[in-house]
Amino acid sequence: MTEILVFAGIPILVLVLLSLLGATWNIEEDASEDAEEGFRQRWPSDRETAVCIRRIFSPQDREFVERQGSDRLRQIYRAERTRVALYWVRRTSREIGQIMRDHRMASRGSANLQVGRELGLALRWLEFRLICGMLIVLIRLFGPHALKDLATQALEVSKSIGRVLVDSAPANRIAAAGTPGGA
Amino acid sequence: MLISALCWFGLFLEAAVLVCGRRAHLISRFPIFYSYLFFVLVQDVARLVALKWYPQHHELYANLYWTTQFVSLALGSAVLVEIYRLGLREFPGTAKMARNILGAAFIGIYIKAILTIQPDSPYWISGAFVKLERDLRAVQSLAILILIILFLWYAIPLGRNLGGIFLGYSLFVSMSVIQLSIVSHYWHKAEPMWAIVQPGVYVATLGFWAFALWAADDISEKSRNKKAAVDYETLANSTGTLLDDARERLGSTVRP
Repeated sequence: MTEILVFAGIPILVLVLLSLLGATWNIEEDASEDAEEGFRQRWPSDRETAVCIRRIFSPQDREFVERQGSDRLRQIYRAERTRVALYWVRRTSREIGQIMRDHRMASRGSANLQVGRELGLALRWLEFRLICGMLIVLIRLFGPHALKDLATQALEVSKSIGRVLVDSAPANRIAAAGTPGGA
Repeated sequence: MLISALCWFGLFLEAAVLVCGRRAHLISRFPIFYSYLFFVLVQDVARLVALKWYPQHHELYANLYWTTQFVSLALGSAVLVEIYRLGLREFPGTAKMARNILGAAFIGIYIKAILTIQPDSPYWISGAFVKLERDLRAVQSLAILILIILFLWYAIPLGRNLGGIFLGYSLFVSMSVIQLSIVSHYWHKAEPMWAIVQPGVYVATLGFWAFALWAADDISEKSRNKKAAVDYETLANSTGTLLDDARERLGSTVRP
């Protein structure tokens, strides 16, 4: 059965991909001569964006809305912030897709292409797409603050573990020193 | 009756594709593909003659079938090399990638074959050509799969002629592997259906080739107007930095 799956799986995958190739075989895409310049222009205000993003995902606005004590306001805030967060993640994902597309268009004609590095970039792109997909799912399910809450909680847990370890270190030393003749 | 009609129609289409190729001056552009197709036409005629005029000589047909089958398989692999060579001629970066990935895949298959082949197994004693053909076709389909992924990833414009040859041949190889793996396991159940499906798919492939190779496309002229290639080191550094930046921005959403 495994044999059939392997032998039949490859051609079936070939057929699926062929349909995609058939749709694009006549499309000529230009290699960008000044790809690097194009990349740089795509995100002109990186610092401003970073500030906005921190704001979208920050807990301060949520805390302010929570303090108002209105369920309706809370709902509106959550829906609006979720939409903005989803829009931002999708846009980032699209931009990364565009970066990789430009990279591929430029690298396909490059005689000194390094295969290992190219595969590494492709894997990083894949990882990035997976992270974006996960973020979209998590934002949809738990809202835009879920990840930060989770990370904050994890940090607090690790800090408390650290504190416990620090506090218990002298006690352990005392106990260890006292054990031989303690009984 | 239907099977016979499909066979005769297939012969007609093979001849038609060859004639169209000559008329559109495509034979000099794709010499290996047209040699392959010419061989398949001769092979089909020879098999038909052996089947119709010498039906009592079973061994003659079997020998002719398997000999020509493996020659056409070897020629088909040469067609893939021609597709790789012509399709990636203007794209040395993708060509290098394809060489490396195909090389790694073939080395892997070779090592696996050496490790798993048992000299005294029935595979070699009885000369089970069906299994051997299935394995060789599976290797071909793996090579096709790698080429398709690279063509899609790097958006290689194959054009109507080369794209048509590639799509048609890939369709044919894929259906052959499915037939040789699935159908050979459930032959008694699948035989009536497959006896029509197989020649049907082959005729469809030939029809596809006839359509795609009716006239020459202008993809080669377009390809000559390519811009100068960029330095890969600079390009990879730039892309890496941008990916890092984007990752950093995504990370800022999670960091407490």
